[in-house]
Amino acid sequence: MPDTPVSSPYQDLPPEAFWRTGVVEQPEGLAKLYTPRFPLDRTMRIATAGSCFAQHIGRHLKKRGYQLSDAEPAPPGLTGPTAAHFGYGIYSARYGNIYTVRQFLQLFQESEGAFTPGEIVWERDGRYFDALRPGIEPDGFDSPEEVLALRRYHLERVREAFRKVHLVVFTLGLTEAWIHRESGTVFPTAPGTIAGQYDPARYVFKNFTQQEIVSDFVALRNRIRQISRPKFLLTVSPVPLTATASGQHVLVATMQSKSVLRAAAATLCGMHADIDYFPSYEMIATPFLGENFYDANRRSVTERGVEKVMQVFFAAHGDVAPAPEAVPETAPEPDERDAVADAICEDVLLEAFGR
Amino acid sequence: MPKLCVIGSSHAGAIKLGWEALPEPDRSGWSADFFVAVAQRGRSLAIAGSHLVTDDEELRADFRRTSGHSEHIEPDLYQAFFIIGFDLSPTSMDKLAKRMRTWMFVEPGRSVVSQRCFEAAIEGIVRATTAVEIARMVRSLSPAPIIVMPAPQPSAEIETSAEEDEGWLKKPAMAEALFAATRRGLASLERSEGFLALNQPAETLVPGQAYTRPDFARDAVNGLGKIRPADMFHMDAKYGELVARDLAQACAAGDGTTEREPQSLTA
Repeated sequence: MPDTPVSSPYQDLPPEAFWRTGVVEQPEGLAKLYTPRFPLDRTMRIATAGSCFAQHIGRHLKKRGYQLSDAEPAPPGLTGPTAAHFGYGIYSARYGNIYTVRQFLQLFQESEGAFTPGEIVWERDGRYFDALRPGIEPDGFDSPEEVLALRRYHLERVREAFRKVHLVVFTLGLTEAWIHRESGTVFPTAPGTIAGQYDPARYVFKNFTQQEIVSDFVALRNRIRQISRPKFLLTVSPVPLTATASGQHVLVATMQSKSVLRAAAATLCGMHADIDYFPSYEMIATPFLGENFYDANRRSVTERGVEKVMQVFFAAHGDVAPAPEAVPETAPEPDERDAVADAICEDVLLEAFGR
Repeated sequence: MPKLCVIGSSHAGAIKLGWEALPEPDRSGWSADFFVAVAQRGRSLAIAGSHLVTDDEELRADFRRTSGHSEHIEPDLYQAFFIIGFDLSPTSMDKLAKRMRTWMFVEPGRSVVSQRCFEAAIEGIVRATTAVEIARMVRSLSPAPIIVMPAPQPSAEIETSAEEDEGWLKKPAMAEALFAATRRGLASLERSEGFLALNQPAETLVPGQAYTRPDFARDAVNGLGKIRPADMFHMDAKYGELVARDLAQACAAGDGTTEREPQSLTA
């Protein structure tokens, strides 16, 4: 009887399938870390949204000359850090950070007239804030009427932002959120953080499950596909929670949250061929590639980390030319330069509540 | 005798006539040189050594003609500078602001911005004007006071004129909002860059409005002193004289202040 050759389902797998060659030795670097499901090129119109890490992705796409949808551009005279201060030029419309998929879904539904938030205006020290994007006017609005007028205009622009787009890039940020009990409206920040007043009778804490996130994203995708036929690129934010209201230790809550988001992304990719996942989270948040990409606060991602992630992303799309240096309209002061590079994250404000 | 250097667009024409008409004592001992140019040419001014020069032949010719002696500016010769107009004007501001509205003036097809955002945008526009850019160049060459003034507000006749206007100037409340934001932008500039902003004399404005009294626009003059009878944006020598009087006071005070209170619209 002839000898049967030893057979294993692993024997013909490429180097990146093995921990030693894929992670420890990396003979091909990180080239195989990400294989895009669909191509990306500069003729595509791209919409971006998500948690604060998504700002980095948008910034790098813009820097490299990709066409970002900007349906709510800054008015003339408002440029650079001043425009960013007012929430312009960060995403495809002036919605600020969208931390949860439910928040994104509700925003899109609201823009279609299919959802009415239970609460829109929050107050602080005589100034008024849009509770659904409290960070876009850091000093608040003059009156509730002004908040509502600006929101009406914003909703028109949200639909425009996703019209005729070829790609939607969304960074999944959080599973934890605060919800208006009566209407189910999801807020991007806890009431009382930037504005408003926390009242347990009005607001309830919610920690979204993987199933809810998947179901919300599918609903969102279907709605966007009614006005556009984009593909979707998901990432998971590697930025840990600033604080948790889950009752767990913040480290445990962070790992749970990120794991749920990561699993939801995988599920969505498995469900739809037009959804892809880019593993920026794995590159930044795991220790295995040998570099620490977090600042001293162990939360903010360093510019080097962002650069590295984006290099892998663009290389995977065959875009290997070095990014051109952006020429600012006027030379910013050093603190302005920092402001440009730093993502605007409202949840950092929760630190003020830490003892 | 201390000498004032006036650098301006066509709106400097009225100031020149006004300055010349000002009685000697009202000039507080100051004399003035005028360098007047078509507004769009101001951008070609540049620093060369200790001078402000231009490679634009026509601007050089304008300067030679209006100053009577020089096609470039030597800041060392002057004890104060007055920069007026160029694109620091209601029409230029309006051109840039025309596509946006604050919530009280929402119109279809216009982007809506908050009042704070509007003010920040107008301040940004002010800071990027040719007038302010020239002021910065002068500052880099001279420590003397620099007084900056926008072109006059349009005549009140604009409200009823047949001219189509989709911007901020034709409706009084909107014109006032743009005017107030511009003044706030200038006030911010005063604080951050040390320039002095000279306000349009209160008595030249229609009370409570951001329009110039129409009688000042009847025999308006341009930069070369030519009459522009149907002009709602240029003013006459009477207007120029009132500005010149405030200007001479500001020069004499050395800090850009005048005896008059600023117009209440900025409050």
